Amino acid sequence: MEKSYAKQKKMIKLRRNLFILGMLSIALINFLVFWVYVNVDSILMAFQINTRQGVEWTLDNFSRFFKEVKMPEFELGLAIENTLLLYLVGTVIGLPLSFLFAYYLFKKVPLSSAFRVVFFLPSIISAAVLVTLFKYIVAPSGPFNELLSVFTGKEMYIEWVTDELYSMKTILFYVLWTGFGGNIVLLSGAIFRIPEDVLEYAKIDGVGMTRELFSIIVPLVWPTFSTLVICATAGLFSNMGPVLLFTEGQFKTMTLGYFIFDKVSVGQYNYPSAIGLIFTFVGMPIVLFVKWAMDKAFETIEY
Amino acid sequence: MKKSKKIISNVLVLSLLATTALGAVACGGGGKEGVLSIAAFEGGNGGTYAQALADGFKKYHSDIDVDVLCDPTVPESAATALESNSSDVDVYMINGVNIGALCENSEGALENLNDVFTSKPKAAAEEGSKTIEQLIDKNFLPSMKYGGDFADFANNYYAIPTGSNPVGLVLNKTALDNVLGAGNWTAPRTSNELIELCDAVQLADKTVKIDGEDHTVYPMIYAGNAVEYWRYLWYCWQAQYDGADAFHEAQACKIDGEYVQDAYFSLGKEKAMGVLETLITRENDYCHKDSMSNKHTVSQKYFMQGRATMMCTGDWIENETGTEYKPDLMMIKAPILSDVADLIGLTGTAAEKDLALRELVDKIDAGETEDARLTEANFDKLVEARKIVFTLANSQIAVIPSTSVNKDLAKDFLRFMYSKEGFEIFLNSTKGSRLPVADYKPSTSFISSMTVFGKSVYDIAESSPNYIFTNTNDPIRFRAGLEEFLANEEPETAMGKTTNAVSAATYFSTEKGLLSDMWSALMRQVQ
Repeated sequence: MEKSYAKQKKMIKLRRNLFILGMLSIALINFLVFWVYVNVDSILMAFQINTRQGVEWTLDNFSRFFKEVKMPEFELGLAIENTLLLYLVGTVIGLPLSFLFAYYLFKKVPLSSAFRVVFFLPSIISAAVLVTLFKYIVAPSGPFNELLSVFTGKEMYIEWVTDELYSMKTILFYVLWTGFGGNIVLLSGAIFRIPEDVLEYAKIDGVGMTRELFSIIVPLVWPTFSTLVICATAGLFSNMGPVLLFTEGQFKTMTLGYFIFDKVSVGQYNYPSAIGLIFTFVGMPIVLFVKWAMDKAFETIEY
Repeated sequence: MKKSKKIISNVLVLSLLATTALGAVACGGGGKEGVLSIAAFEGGNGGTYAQALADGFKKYHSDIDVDVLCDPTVPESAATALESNSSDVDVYMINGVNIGALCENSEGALENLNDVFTSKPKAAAEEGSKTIEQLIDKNFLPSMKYGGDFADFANNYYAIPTGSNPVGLVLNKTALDNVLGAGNWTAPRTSNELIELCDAVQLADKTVKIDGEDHTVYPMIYAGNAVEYWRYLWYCWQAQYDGADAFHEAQACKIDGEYVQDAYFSLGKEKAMGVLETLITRENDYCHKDSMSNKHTVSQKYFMQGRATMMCTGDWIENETGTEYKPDLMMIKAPILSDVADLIGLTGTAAEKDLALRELVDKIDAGETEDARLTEANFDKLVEARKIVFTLANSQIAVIPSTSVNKDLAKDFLRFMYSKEGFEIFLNSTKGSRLPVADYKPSTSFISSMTVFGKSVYDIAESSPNYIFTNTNDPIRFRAGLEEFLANEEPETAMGKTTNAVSAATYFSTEKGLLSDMWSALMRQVQ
């Protein structure tokens, strides 16, 4: 009797384990194939070149990078500069602005509902469609130049996208404009979660709008804000921006993300892998530092 | 309750394991036996040719089904599916694959097509006495093979050309008549004459009315997203000067079969780039001012509307450009690079030499075989130069993925495509695109139905052209990663942009320096 009970218990345990294994298998396989394998393989590829004799292990891809980064014709140095600019505009400038807009919407100032739609609209339209529309608006013979001509009284013919004087600036403006939508949704959500009592107390105590914003709202939504900053920092070097849709890296708009994409699209994997690895090493301490700094800035408040 | 819980948990476990197993199976392709799956690129040739061929093929294979997908995104999905050996398609009809890289890096992702090439075309039954290999224009055969030195793949065919015609300089006859007056202009025979024609159009300073608005007519137009269309012209100039064989070898950085650094930078290339600079630089204002900002479809529309008189494009322009304007277009062979005059020993002032060159081109076009001003060898050199025409035929191809579960059927389909019936189906459904087979001719009724433009393309194709094309078949390209241009900026963009435009000479010498820097690394991968 006892023996059969032990056997039954063993069977139940086995079935339980099988069930757990079955449930986890998809996630595990997904993790092993699309994370472990991909990352390990790309790290290995960084140390490989294809030769007549087959794969050769080498540091050539790394030395090629350090050589080419100094040569302006390859535009790798420019790509790093543009990538940092994208981060600067999207995160350092865009995120605080989004926060201000979110606060503005929260205060229900006139036309705030209309502005909510205006800010969020770019996020719900496909990027390809939006870029096409944007390019049409800023085309040399497009409405924006026509408007400028009306205001300035002389014919304006500026190639906003295909003149290297303006092309990167135009892309940065686009990134700033389209970045608001998603950030505002997340930050508005965080602000609207703040208990009304807290804000009412502050109001009774005579706290003004500026003080309310910086001394109450900022610390309370800081976890959301810092998550956005850390995520943007983690993707700093892989962010290619909308370069593919705008210029395909021409007119001095190359970014690191697009540089890697461009190489991979013509069947080169080893060199881009090395570049990716280099910037993982550069990016890791930056992300850790930003996370440390964000954690230090405000103490996390549970509510 | 306990029983139902047990059933649910068992079902869940089984379904998860089944999904996992299915996922693994899908990695090897998920085609269905007896259902031929064809995925084709919908581009300038339109979107009906694959279905038309499939319908024709099915007539002789009533026991099978044929699934056709004709879509602009097929080339992208094909590249990913082929690289990962996960395609469930049996035949891809696309605009280029990297045969070398697929063979060497993707465990032979493509099916060997040697047996297709050595077989005869087949519709209801086998046709004719020639094999498909014998039927196809010899120019294209090497680029259908793996071009590297891995023994498993060497000398094997992995792709077969589909349909493509000459591409090159297209004149808008209607616009030229509007600007210069009918009979007051001739199709340019030399590059200097082309520049003179640009000057004449510019000097005329005419406009064309579109939707009630006047627009200046420019000599030329191009599109910023397709600057490579210019290569249909200036690559011909390079080949005219260096010779077609040297041009083809130069793409692999070779001279007489050996890798030579300077092969990439021939005198012909330098001179051809010089003329390109004259045409494209903003200073000369020959090109429509919106060119760099326009997409190719927009520039083609402008061209059809008569807002420019010349454009480098392909046989697809009438198909691709939906516009109410139906001008008479005319494709012409690339004018002879004026510097060729020195090469063939013509003497005198630049103007005299060019005049003589124009007369000689007229003579060659009229079928004459000699001229007192030239030695026989030099005359032949000019004849060869005049034959050079650019085409994309080597990249308009069909391939069978090695994961196909209907390989024999897929090969039969390719044999059908190379039958006379297949040729006609392709020709009719693409409105004029031809398989590279000289033995097959379009019917007289088809020829008489052609537009002025279609007829001009047909005439070039029928003039025994010596086709040139870009090729990435050598290991220096597909394995070592040597690109067509080394700097990030393409030459046409570098010379045609508004700010900080680069001269042809600067671009040429910069590229030379870059290749010199990377030469030893390239050689390490190919030798």
